Amino acid sequence: MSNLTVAASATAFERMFALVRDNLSVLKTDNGSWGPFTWTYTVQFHLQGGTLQLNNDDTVEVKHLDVVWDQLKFQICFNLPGFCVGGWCIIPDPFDGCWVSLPKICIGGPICLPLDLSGLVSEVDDLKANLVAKYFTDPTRPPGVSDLTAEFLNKSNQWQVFLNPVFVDVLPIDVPATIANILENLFKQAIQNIFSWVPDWAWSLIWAVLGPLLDLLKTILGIAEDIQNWVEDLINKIFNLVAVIETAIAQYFASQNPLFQFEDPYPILDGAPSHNPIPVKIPFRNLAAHVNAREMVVTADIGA
Amino acid sequence: MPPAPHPFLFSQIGLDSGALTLLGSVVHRFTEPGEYRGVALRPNAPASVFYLTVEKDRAINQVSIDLAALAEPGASSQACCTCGKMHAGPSQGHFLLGAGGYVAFHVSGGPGGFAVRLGKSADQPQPKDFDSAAITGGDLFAATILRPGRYSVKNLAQTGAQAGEIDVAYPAPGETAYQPPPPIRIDCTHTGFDPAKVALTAMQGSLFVCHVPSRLKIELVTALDPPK
Repeated sequence: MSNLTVAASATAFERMFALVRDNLSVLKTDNGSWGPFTWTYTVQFHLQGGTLQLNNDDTVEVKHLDVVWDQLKFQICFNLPGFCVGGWCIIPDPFDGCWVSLPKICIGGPICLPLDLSGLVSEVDDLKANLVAKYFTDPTRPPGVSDLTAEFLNKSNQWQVFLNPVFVDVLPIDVPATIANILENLFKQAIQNIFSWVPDWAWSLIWAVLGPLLDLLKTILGIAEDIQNWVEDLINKIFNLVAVIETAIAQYFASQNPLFQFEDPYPILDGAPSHNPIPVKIPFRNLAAHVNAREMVVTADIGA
Repeated sequence: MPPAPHPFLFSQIGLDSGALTLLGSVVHRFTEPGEYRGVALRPNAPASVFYLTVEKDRAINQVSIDLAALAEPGASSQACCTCGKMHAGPSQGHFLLGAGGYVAFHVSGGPGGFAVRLGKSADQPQPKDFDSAAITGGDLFAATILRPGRYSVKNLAQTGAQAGEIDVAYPAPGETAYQPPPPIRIDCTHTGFDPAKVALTAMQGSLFVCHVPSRLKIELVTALDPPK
């Protein structure tokens, strides 16, 4: 049986990788609840940059791959305890507490803070993969048809070579230090919206009762740490966007978008209507793809 | 879930003990056991009837009666007795209190304007034991003023009484959430109010203790602009 060996330089491999990388675009929405608040998010990202290296251990390593967040929008909703009047003690208990008190009247309600951090860039620190060759048979190919008919139907079998991630190390998403100001402004706006019916004179009273807004927000949401850390924990651990990136990248490279593919049997001579209308094609078997520090090498057996 | 926004909270600036609204409540002490029939009245609306049973051995020292809730269309039209007794007519509520306990009549929502009267429930007409339009004998009128400014307070039931003056200030900006200071007690007498002039901060309570028949009316004289 004859053999085929094809090599592609590291530069050529890098170009193949760039083409596949640039086609990735992941869109995801989700929702849930955590303690006193509910959340929803819509995120979309693509990949950019990265330094690629071929290794002698048959692995490909991509470092410092940028994750560009075309959309990083989320919303947290919670109940604002609000503004309460009354409730004061009319007749104190001489021993302790209050004998008679006024009922309390509170105004407040559910509010949502929509945060938009689109444009943020995070990073895949390290992506290590090997190459995997797979044979693809179009599931829509009619059963029993010849390879020639399948080609005419544009449903040829394919050899595909995927970059199969062994591990993906995604760095946690950092949010800007100004996030506390952004949240404070959103909170203020949400309060103004929920109390839009309040006369102008009452606003200084409401702000006084609510107190420093970041402190209030931290109390309502049960935030014990710095706001910036809390938002990062929310994104990375509660929304689990790090896992979203890892899973999306792994699936995309390993099974959705091959580095390259070619049809099988492979046409080596096109058909010419005047003298030989049937193309000449040869089948490949046992295709394998490997890398070393200099190049990618693809080998296959030729013939049925 | 907190209650829905309440537009009347900031739009009703004045207070009247004979026409109770969100920020004014009347408190009466019931020392004598018995069954009382109460009526909550407001202009251009049907009266709401309720019953109050005052029992000697009940360990209930306070009951809050929400006049707005009694007036709601969905309020029970039957005697919803927790005491097991039947009443002469329909009622919108039945409350229990220990002898010597206090009833706070308040309004939880809506435009209010309620007056409330109670008398012993009996076959024959009885004298009124309590009338919010003429509170007396140590009855309390609890007023919370939100709108900063200068107010006058008058006792409409005492023609010779001097009007009082209440100055309400905006809370000073602070590093923490504003907590209103404790309420201030003001005694209502034949001659007027003691003290006759008080200074409050917005939302601070004022508690009028009425030793003579009183109908108290608090009116805004000059509004104070918010600090810049």
